[in-house]
Amino acid sequence: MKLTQRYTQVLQFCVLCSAIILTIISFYTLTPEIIKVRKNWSNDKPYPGAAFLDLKDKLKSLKIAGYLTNKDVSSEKNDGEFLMAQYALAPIVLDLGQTHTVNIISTTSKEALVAILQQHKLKPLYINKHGKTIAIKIK
Amino acid sequence: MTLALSYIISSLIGFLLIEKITGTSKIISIGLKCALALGLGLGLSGLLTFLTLLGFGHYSPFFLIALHILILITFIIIDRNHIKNTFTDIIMQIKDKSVFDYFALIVFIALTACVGLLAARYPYGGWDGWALWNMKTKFMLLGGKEWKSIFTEIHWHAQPDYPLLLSCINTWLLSFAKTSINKIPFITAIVLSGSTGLLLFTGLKQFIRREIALLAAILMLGNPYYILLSTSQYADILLAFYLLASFLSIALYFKHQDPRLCLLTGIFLGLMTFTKNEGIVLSLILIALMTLHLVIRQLKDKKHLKHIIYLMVAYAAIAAITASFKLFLTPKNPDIVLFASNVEYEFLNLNGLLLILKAFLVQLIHPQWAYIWILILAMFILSIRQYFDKKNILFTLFFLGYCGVIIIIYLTTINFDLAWRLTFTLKRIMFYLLPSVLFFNFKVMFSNNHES
Repeated sequence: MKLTQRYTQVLQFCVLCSAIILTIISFYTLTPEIIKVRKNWSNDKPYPGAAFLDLKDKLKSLKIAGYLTNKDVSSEKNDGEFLMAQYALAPIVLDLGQTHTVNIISTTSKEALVAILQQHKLKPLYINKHGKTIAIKIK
Repeated sequence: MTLALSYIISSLIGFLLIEKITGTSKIISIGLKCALALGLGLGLSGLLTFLTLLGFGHYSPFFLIALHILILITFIIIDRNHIKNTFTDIIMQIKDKSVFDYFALIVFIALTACVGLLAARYPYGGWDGWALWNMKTKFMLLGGKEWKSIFTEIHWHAQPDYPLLLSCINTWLLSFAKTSINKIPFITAIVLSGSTGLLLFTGLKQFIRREIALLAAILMLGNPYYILLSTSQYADILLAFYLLASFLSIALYFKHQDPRLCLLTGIFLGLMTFTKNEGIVLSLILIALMTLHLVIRQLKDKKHLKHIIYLMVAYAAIAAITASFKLFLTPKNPDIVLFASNVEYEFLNLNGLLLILKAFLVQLIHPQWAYIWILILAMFILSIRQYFDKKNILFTLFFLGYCGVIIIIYLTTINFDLAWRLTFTLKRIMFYLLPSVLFFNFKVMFSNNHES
């Protein structure tokens, strides 16, 4: 009985010491991070989908738009830029891979943009400085 | 300032509900009540927001605020004498607080400030934070009657079947605050991160020495990876809070055998179902174990029927909202298909099992966790017999059961590469389990001394 009690006490002491050491390790890791954050406090962090933000003004009262791209949109690649576009343009619903009356196009090159426009019979309405395009269906 | 008002209203509703449930008994300390009240109040506000969205068909901040104020006034009118006594009691208790309590308060304020500073590294949260939860908040706020489009299959990439509590809470908080949509999830994450630490401290303090309880809370709240994941604006921190709150109410029930604690447990388990799909699984395992425990007790002692009814009624009342949400609003999750005969499971073999084991070991020893899981594992191994004691077996079975479910879900992975899935999801599972695991481990290891 006494031996068990002694074992528990030693164990508790060891756990407490380990917890204190781990806390010190944590704060040792955190301190340089906190200093770094304070130094870069004024630096603006990039807004998710910032490249699509100016398109929103041109799409007022639109409910749904097609989203066409030649980039990797697999789940493993976190759906590429698509989710950023969806976040920036919400509450407009973006329909990935489908054409609608109005469409958003994001491509890796101008050639790819032209190819998508021709393939889906679309006419570009507006291209922003990041190459993000609003295109409408040719009737 | 107006943002603080919405937190205060939610917390007061949470506090008054706990007061109404526990009555004049002192089964829960004032500090623990305050820590529980914030999460409970925010959860109830989130549910009210969701029901309002469904009822009106669109977001209506005026009605939402009016509803909250009405609930608050009703609580005050019904229970005014008791509330007056409670607040006199709180003032008296504040006056009687020891130096240690003030020290603990300063530690929590300082740690939460550090969490806030570090959260500023990612003001828009992690990928899932903005791409899932915050985007859904935007649809609720700005989508008008079209907010329900988040449930359509067009939104398959944003997991339309995921429960919505975090997004609803952020939507409620924006009813008051005239601030940018991006700031609210950022602040909510910091508040929830700090309050989970506070809940761990005030909860553990009921079972072990307060100095050790404080050490456990600092160990968690100062952990770099806990800070990163809790401020990533994922629903995981909300799930971590409710799981810990459920653990606490169950542990307190075992201590006091008071049926009112079953009611509180049922509420927290119910709220858990509306945080994430994992919350549904966690709550089902816990409610099944708890019911089994109460049925066994009922066979020996007939008075436990009331306890079972309290637990079930509270759980069913809130879980019914999640059930309706799942049945009538959302499409089926295409990524979880358990044992269907027409599906070929690529990872349902020994290789899959080894991949899971390897990923778990990698997380266990990864320096990003500041070795906290090694300590937890060592505590478990060195006092393994105590974990299977009569008073601890329910929690141990819960963890073993959940591990089993997780392994099955991973083994039946389709549509993804298992290694990729493990890399991105296992750390988050370990994160939302961390507060409850720490609570359980410290309680098992140190409660005997305290009780004696």
